[in-house]
Amino acid sequence: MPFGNLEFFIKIFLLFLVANILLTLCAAQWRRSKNRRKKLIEAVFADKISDFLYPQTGKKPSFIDVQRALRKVGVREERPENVQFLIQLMIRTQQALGGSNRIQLKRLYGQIPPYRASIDKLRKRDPFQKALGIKEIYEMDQNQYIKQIAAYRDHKNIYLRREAQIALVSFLGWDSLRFLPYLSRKISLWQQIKIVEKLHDVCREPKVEYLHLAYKTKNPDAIELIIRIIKKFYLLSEVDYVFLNLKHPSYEVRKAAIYCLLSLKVRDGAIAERLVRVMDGIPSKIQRKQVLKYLAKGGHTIPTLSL
Amino acid sequence: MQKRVLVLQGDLVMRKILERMFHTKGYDCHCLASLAEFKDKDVQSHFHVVVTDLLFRGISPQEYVLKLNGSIKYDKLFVVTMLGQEKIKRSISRLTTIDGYFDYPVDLKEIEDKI
Repeated sequence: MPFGNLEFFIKIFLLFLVANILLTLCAAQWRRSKNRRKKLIEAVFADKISDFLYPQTGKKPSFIDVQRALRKVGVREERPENVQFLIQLMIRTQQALGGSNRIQLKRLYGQIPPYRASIDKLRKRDPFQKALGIKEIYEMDQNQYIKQIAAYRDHKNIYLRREAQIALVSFLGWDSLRFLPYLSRKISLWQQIKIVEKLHDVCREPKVEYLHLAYKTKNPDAIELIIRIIKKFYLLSEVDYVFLNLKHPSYEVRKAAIYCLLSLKVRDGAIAERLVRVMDGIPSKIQRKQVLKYLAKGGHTIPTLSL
Repeated sequence: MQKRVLVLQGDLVMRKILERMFHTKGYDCHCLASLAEFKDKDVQSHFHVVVTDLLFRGISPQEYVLKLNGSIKYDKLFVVTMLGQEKIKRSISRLTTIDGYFDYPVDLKEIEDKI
């Protein structure tokens, strides 16, 4: 290789190396300044939130004061990264506090800068962004947007309808079950468990009148969900609905019904006897065997059945 | 004389809220992000109440509680943490006497009442 060419390649390589080092230094500097900004936002947020929840004697909690301080440290619409960081801080704080402080925070969150940021995500085309917006709204307890969220409860995108359904349960509790007959799409097992747990978190006191409204549903996943709710809350008064679904054409619905009855029988011994009586009606041989096995384990006398 | 309170919380927001709560109630409140920030001169001091988290970097909740017991003198110990599992609560209670265990979401009014 001629010497001139070699020199040219070395120069190119050195240039590339210098550019690379400069780029790395710039990126590190940019990251540092971003982290500094985040720390500043967190410090101001902590200061203002504590001031808002426990104002100094003689002072009133002020929304405007919090709003101004956050804008001053860069939480503005044109800086979406800062707004997103503030939303995360708000959610974290909301999850940590309960009682009267939680109510105070809910009022504050309706007033301070990013309050449009989450609902604005619902206007985006990307369903993931919409789902993220809904998640932020229900985690910050902003139930004034319930109407916009309810529209997505049966959306074709699984993530979007999942978050919309959880939001409805968070805001309405047992009342949200009246939407069940209008859900035509699949409700995954994971989603069912999430709904049941959320319902248990937000409202421990069962309201069976809303559950009765949901009985109209024909969707097997929704029926499974109802059965799981009956099991979780030990609703012995609703046991007829579970027995009815022992003959459901869907294997999964029958499975949920069997597990529910086996759980309920711990509290009501009569259920085991009734289960033995109706066992012949279960369409699957495997499931009949399964019921027999569990009943025998519980020490019940099992009559000879045609399997 | 003002009663002394020590708040040990890694989360800045929670630390500030607790600090402000104790200040408004007339306590002399000291706040730290971790036990490592504790200065030697404070080791000798005595606190009326210690409010602490259990989650700190590089140390298990059980080890942390033992370390806290060895380094600080206090009358009452309250735990405010996101760890709500019964297993943790039991193992911590076995190691030391706890006057109140509050997992998230925590109602600070309950802490005020207990103090």
